[in-house]
Amino acid sequence: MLRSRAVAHPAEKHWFLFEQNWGGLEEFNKLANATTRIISGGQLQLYIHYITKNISFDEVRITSNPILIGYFPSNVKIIYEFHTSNDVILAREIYQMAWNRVDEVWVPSNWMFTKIKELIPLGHEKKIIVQKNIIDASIFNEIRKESCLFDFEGSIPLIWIGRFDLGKNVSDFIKTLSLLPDEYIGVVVSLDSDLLRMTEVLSEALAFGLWSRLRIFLNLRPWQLSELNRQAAMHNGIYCSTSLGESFGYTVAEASYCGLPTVAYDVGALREHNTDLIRFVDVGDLFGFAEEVLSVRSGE
Amino acid sequence: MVTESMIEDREFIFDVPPGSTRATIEVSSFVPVQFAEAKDLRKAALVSVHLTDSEGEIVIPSDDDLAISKKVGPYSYLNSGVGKPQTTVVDISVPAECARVIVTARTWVKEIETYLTAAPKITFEEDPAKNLLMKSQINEAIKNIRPAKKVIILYTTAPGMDHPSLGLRPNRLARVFAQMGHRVIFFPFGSAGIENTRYAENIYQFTRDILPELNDRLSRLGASNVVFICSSFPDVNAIAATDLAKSFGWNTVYEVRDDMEEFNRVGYSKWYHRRLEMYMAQRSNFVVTVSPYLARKMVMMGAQESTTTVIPNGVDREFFTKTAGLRTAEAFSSRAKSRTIGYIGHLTPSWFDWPLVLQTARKNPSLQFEIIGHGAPNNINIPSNINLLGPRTHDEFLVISRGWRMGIIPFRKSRLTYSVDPNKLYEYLCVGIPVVSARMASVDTAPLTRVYYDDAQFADLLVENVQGYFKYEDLESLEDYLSKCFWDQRGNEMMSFIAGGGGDN
Repeated sequence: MLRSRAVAHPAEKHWFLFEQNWGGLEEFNKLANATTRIISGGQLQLYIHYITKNISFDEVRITSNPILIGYFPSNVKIIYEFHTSNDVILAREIYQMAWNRVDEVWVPSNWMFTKIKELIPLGHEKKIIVQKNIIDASIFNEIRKESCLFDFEGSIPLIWIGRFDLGKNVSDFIKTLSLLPDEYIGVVVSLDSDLLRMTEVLSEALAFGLWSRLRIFLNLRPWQLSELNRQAAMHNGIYCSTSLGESFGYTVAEASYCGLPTVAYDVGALREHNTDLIRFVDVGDLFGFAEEVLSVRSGE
Repeated sequence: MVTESMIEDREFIFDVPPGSTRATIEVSSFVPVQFAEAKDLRKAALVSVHLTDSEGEIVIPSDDDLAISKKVGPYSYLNSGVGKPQTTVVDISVPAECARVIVTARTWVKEIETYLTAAPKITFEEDPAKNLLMKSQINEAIKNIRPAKKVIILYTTAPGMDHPSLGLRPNRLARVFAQMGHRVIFFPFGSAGIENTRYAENIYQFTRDILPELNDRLSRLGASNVVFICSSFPDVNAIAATDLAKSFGWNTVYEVRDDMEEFNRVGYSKWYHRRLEMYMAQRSNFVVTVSPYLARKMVMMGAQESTTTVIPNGVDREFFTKTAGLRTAEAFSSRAKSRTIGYIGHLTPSWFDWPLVLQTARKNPSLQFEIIGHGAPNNINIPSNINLLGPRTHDEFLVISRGWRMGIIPFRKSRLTYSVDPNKLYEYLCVGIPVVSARMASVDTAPLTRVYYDDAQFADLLVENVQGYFKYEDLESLEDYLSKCFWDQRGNEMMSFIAGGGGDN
């Protein structure tokens, strides 16, 4: 999302400061109009003081950590972005926010707009702006290459992309795979390289006897992800969203841009993508999810 | 000529040579003796470091370098000597857009006079680990591959190719594969031993974080003749890389050099998890182990028997030739009267059987033990007939071992031991000394090698060997055995196994 904005606005100069390295740094480093740094929390306040003293910023956009608002001088425009759909995290961020210091609040969907509006202190509602996330259509599109990058070995690929947190709910994806015939394989594109979480996923898949039908990918580049989506579509594949909340649904949107049908739990902002390619299932209805996957194949 | 000057907020400006990624700043300073007992001496003076681009605008520094102060920005206190100069060394990253480094020496505690003995010095360098991401280096690594030859990606726990040790199996096989004409891209465990990205013709090495970039480049090119070898390092990244490689149509090999589960059990290899290794064993196209025990274990973990094979460790052909003179009848005769027993290797009590060796030494005072290696436990009571020599170079080992009557491999009974195919066995045999070893791998099939199955038998075999005589048949069998163990033969065997038959594929 952040990277796409820099790509979409090449005349803007972006400075990205991350508190943690979740991977993908090299994609940011390729941007000609961006400078990227990973700054550990302990130094962050002093670091921000130093750079704001020496560089004049038009605006500062902060996400996931409202405490940072207080680190910036009062003459800088502050935009706070809400991206989480997790109610606990949302409540914490709203509580910690210095609302008088925030000039704008960005949310990525109408659904989030409605949600945030109900939760924030009175008098600040007018600050909320829906700023939809940008999908890089130069990468995520239906233009097919001649050669096939991925070999699904004659199987029907089900794609799942995300971190292994409870909200993203990879467990339901594994359970769904276990309900489907052997011709379906599960391609998990992990954004999470944590050892214990990975072994938990593998253990669950093993318990269901699914290892021969599982593929684990890590650190895919955006172009590889788009190729995966496109080629999965060519092989009757489906993108599966078992997420329990989505403030926008980036991976669902990317899948649809690539022409890949999606079956998703009906949560959050997913209906705002407004495409026939997404079929919705009541959240948590595993059996309904498996049936919907089968119905995509059968053309219902 | 050294000139001293008191620090008074002096700025020193250095132009950054193109391509620099790191800089080392050295500042020589001192405080006069009368300030020796001053409070806050440690904070008496500092250098602040600012980076600017070609327009003179501030460049945001990296976080991994210096503390930051609201007043002076990035800084480091000077570690000034009292009465005599001392040098403070400050290392910083140099971002690509940085054109100048501005170093300002400042007094911080006004009451304490601090003097510079000279202007700060700065040395710029291209850090290989930082430069490795440069596309040109990756592109160079994968271009001009000879037709019908492979790109072999070796992802391993071994050190880099430049490491001063002789190198582990992956390092040796990397050289063999390169000599076969294949292009080897080597990913060692850490950055130690990586001095040059291009180690040799056909061998390039990178830090592990580059693997996704390499896969990106290779997949963009539509490369098909690629082999991904995970050598005893089935971590999260490796299993994902294996699945990705298979989906690209590449061959994947899980090479098992040790029982990593047991290494993890005794406190090493903290990245290891059984589940990941099981997944690797089951998902890889081929599994190659160094011992029959490990092959059985991998099949138990789900590897296919038909695509699992044993290819033991080996001997460096050059070392074999170099030590030829140690395997003659004369050399054997010269050691006949020696009562010195030698060992070379790691001395951790996790596998080295210290109680056995100490007990045997005490009960056999006429035997002398010379032990080369590091990792011995502290505070053990060493008898006078054990000489701990510490780490030695390989050339030193060649000289020292000439006085040995035999070599030993006294490892504790454990799964870790059973699975090992010890490189030192081959080294002992090359320098012409018989071996007494714990039960492991296929050591019982090696010439001049005797295996003990209990503690009493260990001592008995040492004494027998000391008192015994060599036979001429021993020399012949030794030459015959070693000449079938060269690393290039092992490498050929592995490639043939992968190709499903034939030699140089």
